[in-house]
Amino acid sequence: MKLSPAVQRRLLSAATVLLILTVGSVRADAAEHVDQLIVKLRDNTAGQRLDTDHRQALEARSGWPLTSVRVLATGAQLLQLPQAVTQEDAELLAAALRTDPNVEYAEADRHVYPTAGAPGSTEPLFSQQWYLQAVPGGMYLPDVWAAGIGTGATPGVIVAVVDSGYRPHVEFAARILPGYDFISNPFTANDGGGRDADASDPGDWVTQNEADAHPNCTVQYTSSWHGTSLAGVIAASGDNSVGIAGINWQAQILPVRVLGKCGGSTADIADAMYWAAGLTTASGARNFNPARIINLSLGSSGSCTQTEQSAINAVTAAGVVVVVAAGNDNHGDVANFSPANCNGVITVAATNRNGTMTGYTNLGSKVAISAPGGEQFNNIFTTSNSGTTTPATGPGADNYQAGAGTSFSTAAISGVVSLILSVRPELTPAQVLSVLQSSADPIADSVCTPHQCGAGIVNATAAVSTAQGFVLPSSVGGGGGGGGGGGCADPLALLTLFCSTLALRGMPSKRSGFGKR
Amino acid sequence: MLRLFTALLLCASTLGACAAPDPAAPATSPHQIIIQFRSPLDDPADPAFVQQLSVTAGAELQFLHTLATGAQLYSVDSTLDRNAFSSVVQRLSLRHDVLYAEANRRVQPAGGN
Repeated sequence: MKLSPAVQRRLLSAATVLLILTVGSVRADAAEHVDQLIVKLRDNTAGQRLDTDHRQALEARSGWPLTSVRVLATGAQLLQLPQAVTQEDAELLAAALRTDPNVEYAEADRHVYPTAGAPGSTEPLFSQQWYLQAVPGGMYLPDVWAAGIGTGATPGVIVAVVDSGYRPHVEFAARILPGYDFISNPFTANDGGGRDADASDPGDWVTQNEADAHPNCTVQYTSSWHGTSLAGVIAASGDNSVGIAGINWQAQILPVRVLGKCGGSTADIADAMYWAAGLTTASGARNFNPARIINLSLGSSGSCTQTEQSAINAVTAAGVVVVVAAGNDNHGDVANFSPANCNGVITVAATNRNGTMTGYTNLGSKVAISAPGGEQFNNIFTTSNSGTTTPATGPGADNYQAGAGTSFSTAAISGVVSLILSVRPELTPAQVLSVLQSSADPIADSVCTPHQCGAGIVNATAAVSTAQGFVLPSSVGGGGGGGGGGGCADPLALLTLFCSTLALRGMPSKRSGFGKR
Repeated sequence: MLRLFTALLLCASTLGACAAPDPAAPATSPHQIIIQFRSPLDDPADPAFVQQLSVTAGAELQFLHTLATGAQLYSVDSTLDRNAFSSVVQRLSLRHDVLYAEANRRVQPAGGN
C-alpha cells in the first residue's frame, strides 16, 4: 500500500498510540489480522453513514484514520483501517473507541472461518460410508472421534490382519508394522516361495487353467486385495482429506499373510496366530509387536478343529481378542463354519444399511454380535489396489472398492475393539466381549427369532462409553466371572454426565453417550 | 494297545466303516494331516517313525513341519480321494500315541469385493 505523507504521519502517530495501548506487544507476525472495525453510535438511529464530525471524533480516540465502508443491518458502522493489524491490537483500538460516550459498542470485525466439519467428514468418500455414520444401520463413530478417541497422531492398538497380506495404501501405510508371510505352499503364496518375512500381497488371482488344475479352486478370479480392504475398514486415516475414514485412525496394522491363490490352510493360520500374539513358533520366527486383536475374516465348513481351538486358547490366554467372520452361507448355521464355531472367539454376523441381517450371513447361537457387512447397492466402501493380477504401483495404485461379506463385519468389530482397548487396555477378551454385547443395539429383524443374531448390532459410541465405565471384578468387592456388565462407576469417564442422566432415568448404561445421538 | 488292535481289526474287516466320510468335512482337502501326539517327539521327521505312521495310515506320509501348537504336519498322497483321505485321518487318530489327527483344512476368505 502506497500511503501519502500525511497519512504516514497519521499512521506514525497512530502507531505510537498503538504501542502505548499494547505496552509494546504489537506483533507484526500474528496469525489473525483485522482491517475493519464495527462501531455502533448512540445517536445514529437513522442508520446513516458516518458523517465527518463523528468520523474525526473516532479518529481522535483511536489515533488512526478511519474510512466509512457501509452501514450494517444492525445500524452499526463498518470502518476501514488503513492497514491490517493483529486481532488483539484491533480489540485494543475498539476499546479506545468505546471511551467515546457516543459509542454504544465498538469491536473488531473478526475474520471468521468455516467451522471444522464433523470428524471424518473431510474425507471425500465419507458420505458413502453409511456404515460409520450415526444413523440406524451405522455404527455411530462420529461421536467417538469427536471425543478424540481413535483420532490422535500417536500409534495405537495393534490389530493383526491375518489374511492375504497388505498393499501400502496411503490411508494406513504409515501404521503398518513388520509382518510375516506364513503361507507354506508356493503356489498359494504366489511370491516365489514359502514362508518369509514379507507380508506384502503379491495378488491372489486365479486363471481358468489354474482353477481347472487345482481342486481347491473352482473359478477364475482377479486379485481381491482382501487384507488391504480389511485394513482400510479398521484403520484408514480419517483426517487426511483422502478417500475414506477407517474406524480407528490410530490403529496399527500387523499384516500376517495366510491367504493366497485358492485360500489358505488351517496349519498356516494356527502358526500365524501364535506369531501375531508374540508367542513362540516352532520355526523360531518371533514378532516383537504383539497384537491385541487378531482379525480372522476367513473360514471353512466343518466343526472347529482342534488345531484352531488350540491356537485360539493360546492367544486368548495371552490377552488377545480373536474376532472371526460368521461366514456367508445364506443364513446357514454358524455351528458348521470354523473357526467361527470355536470357543473363545467373537463371532460376527453381517447387517445391511437398514440395520437388519443380510441375506448372505450365517446365523446361530455362536454369533456373538453383528456389524455392517454391506449388501446389494449399499456395500462397504474401503481401500484396495487397482491391479487386477499383480499389484499396481505408483500413482493410481491406491484405489477404493465396495464389497460385502462377513469379512467386513469382522473388520468393523476389530476396529471397534481397538477403540475399546484404546480407552481400557487392561480389559480381557471376555470383558471386551461383555462390553460389545451389553452396548449393542437390538436388531429388529424377524429372522433373528428362529435363528440367532448375537447380542445386536454394534454401536461404537455405546461400546466405548460402556468400556470407559466398565467395572473390573476386582474393584467391586471381588465379584466373580469374566467381565460382567459395565457401568458408570468411573468418575473420570468421559461420559459421566451421560451416565448420570441414565441413572436418573433408571436406565442401564448400555446406550450411547457423548451427549447426542 | 487293545484299542489300536481293535481299530485295525475293524478297519481291516470293514473298511467302509473306517472310510466313512465325515459329513462336516470340507469338499476339498490339501491332503495334509495335522497330528498332535500325546508326548513330544524327539524327531517327527525320523524316517523310521514316518514309515511306521505310513503303515498305520495305509498311505505314504511325509513330514512337513511342526506347528506352533506343538502338532506335526504331514502330507499324504495327493491322489487319494475324499473318502480315502478321511480313512487315513481316522486311522491315524486311533493310534495310542496320537491325541488327535485332523485334515489341514482349506480355508477361504469370508467375502470380498
